[in-house]
Amino acid sequence: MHERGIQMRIVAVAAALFLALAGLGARLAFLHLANHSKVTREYKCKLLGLRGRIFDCNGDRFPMAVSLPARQFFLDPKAVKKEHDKRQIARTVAEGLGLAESEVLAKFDQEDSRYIKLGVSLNDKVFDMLSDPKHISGVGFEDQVCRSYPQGRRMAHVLGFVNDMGVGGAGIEQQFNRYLTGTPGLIESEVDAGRREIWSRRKVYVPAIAGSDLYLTLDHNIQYEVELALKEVVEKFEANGGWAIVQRIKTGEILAMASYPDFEPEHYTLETLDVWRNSALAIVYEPGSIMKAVTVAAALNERIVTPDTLIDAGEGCWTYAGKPLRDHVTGHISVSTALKKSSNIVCAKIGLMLGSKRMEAYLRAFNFGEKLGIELPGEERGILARAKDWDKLKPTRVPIGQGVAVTGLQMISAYSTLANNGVMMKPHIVSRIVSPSGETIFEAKPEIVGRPVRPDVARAVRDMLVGVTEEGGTGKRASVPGYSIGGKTGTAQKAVPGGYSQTDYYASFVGFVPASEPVFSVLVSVERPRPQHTGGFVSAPAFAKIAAATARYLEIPPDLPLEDEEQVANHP
Amino acid sequence: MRRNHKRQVRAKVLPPSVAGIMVLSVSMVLCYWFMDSKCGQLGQEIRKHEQKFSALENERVREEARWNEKKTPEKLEQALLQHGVAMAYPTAEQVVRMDAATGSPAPGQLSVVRFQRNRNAGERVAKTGQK
Repeated sequence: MHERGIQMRIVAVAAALFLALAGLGARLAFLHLANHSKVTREYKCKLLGLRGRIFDCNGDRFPMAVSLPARQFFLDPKAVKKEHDKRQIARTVAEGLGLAESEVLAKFDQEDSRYIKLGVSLNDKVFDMLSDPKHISGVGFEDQVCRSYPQGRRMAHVLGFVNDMGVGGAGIEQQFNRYLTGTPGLIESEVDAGRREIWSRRKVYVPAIAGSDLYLTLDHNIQYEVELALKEVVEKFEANGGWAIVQRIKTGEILAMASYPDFEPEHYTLETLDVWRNSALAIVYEPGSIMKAVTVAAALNERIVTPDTLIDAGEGCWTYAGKPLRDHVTGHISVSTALKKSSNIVCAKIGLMLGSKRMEAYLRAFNFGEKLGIELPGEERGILARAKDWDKLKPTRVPIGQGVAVTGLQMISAYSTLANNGVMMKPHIVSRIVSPSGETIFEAKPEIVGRPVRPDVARAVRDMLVGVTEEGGTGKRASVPGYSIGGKTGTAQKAVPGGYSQTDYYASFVGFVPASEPVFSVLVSVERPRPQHTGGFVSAPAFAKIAAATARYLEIPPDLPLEDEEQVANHP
Repeated sequence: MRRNHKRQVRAKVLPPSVAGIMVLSVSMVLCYWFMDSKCGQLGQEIRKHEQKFSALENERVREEARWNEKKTPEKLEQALLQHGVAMAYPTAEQVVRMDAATGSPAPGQLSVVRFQRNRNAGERVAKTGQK
């Protein structure tokens, strides 16, 4: 009996062992043969392709836009473990992501959602803090690329911004999105029981490729001075806004382009669409007197007048087509003086001498009414009606900058053309694009757009424009010690439905430095300045500040004798 | 010395070729097992290094961005002001321009400086006299 009991026990143990082994075998077969193992062990990881960087003209030393690897943290209220305290989790999250504790705590109540965005962090320590399984649960993360602009608001309107989807939404970011966008990489592999990737089982490894780097023609130092001067003038005169451009004359490169008010590209959603707009090329406005230089250039090119031709400005009021045109200059004055003193009547009469067709042709030759094709989105073409559609009054108003609408970019290009012996260069803002492998994909070269006037005519107008900033000229405040400045003031009434505003103006100054051998041109336009509203009073001083800083920065030697030099020369 | 012949057993031994194959198979299995575990170990190390490299690269990019934020023109100006360093560009008469070809001051440049220096000295004398 005793032996039989032992035998029974042996059989029972053997049967149990057999069953256990059979169970393990079945499980093994299920895992290996049922294709189940592949699904659970499959590991796929998308590698982030960083967006290309944007630099100014100084090269790699000064990035204006960079992409940073970050983590987007989210909350899954249902995944919070019972043993964890919600308050404690909320406190840690709030501390790590810089949020209010109550705000985070409120998100725990949204139990209908399993993906509630908490915030983005660049800091690895925050990641360590929020991924501690002992104290935190329900907080997940996903890798993300975060666009950063190290200089904050600098060049905001040129750079634009990148939206939440990682797509450029304005400016260079939008225009060159396909070059800047990186290509994501991929890892396909298997994981072990601890969900760690088994390297030897890696099947696919496609490395991520960063986007191409963009080098701008803009210089952040000049841009800084321009933005500073623009902000100051807009705030001082309580204006609606303003824009300024600095262009290198020989090549057409844009050295600075600013609009005010500006915005922070990283927090672009805090501002409205109006603020995002690059006013320097997207606002179309009647230029006013700054158009007179183009009118005079056209008349000189057609040999209708010379700088010394005398034209009667009358008694300060001239009626044509039933409409009076007022002027602060009276009597017979030369074309040169008319430009210096900004005579409306003389320029209107020159326009009449030219005739509608020729006037329109010259304006089109200077690229008014057409886009200049700068590599930025939102460029306007301006408004220039065909001459056949002009009424009787228009040939006297277009020459003084009324009845025609332009962009700031068109205006500075026209003046750069006059300063460049009549050769119009295409304005451009991107100097080169370099692939991640270091290969130059694109390199900008100076491009001639046209030659609207002869070189001798351009030189003559250039000389005449120097008078504007001299004693007796309307733009004396634009003068810079040591440098000869050629330029023109412009004060234009703002067009409103049914006519012109009596209170709102555009105050502008556009000119080039040094006038003897121009290197760069500057345009400053201010919208609705108060209480003063003239270009000579409002914009000319801002021009002088920008011109002085840029000339100094570009190391342009003064072309005028300094006060002391004159004294030395006159000293016996 | 007496031998115990009765106890001598003539055992059947494996043929040397079979034994060789068996030893070879076992050693191959052991070798494979060793190499597999070594590969696995190396794989884990590579993976760790990959992660470390990626983390360091990300950190470098972030540090670079932090540094770039600190060297903007306004931040530099602020930093200088904080340390009581008021810097300004030299005025035109404070600059002596050199002629690149000759390596000497451009015409008229030194005379301006000399004139300026004499004038400043004169002003100083006048001020001292006033006292």
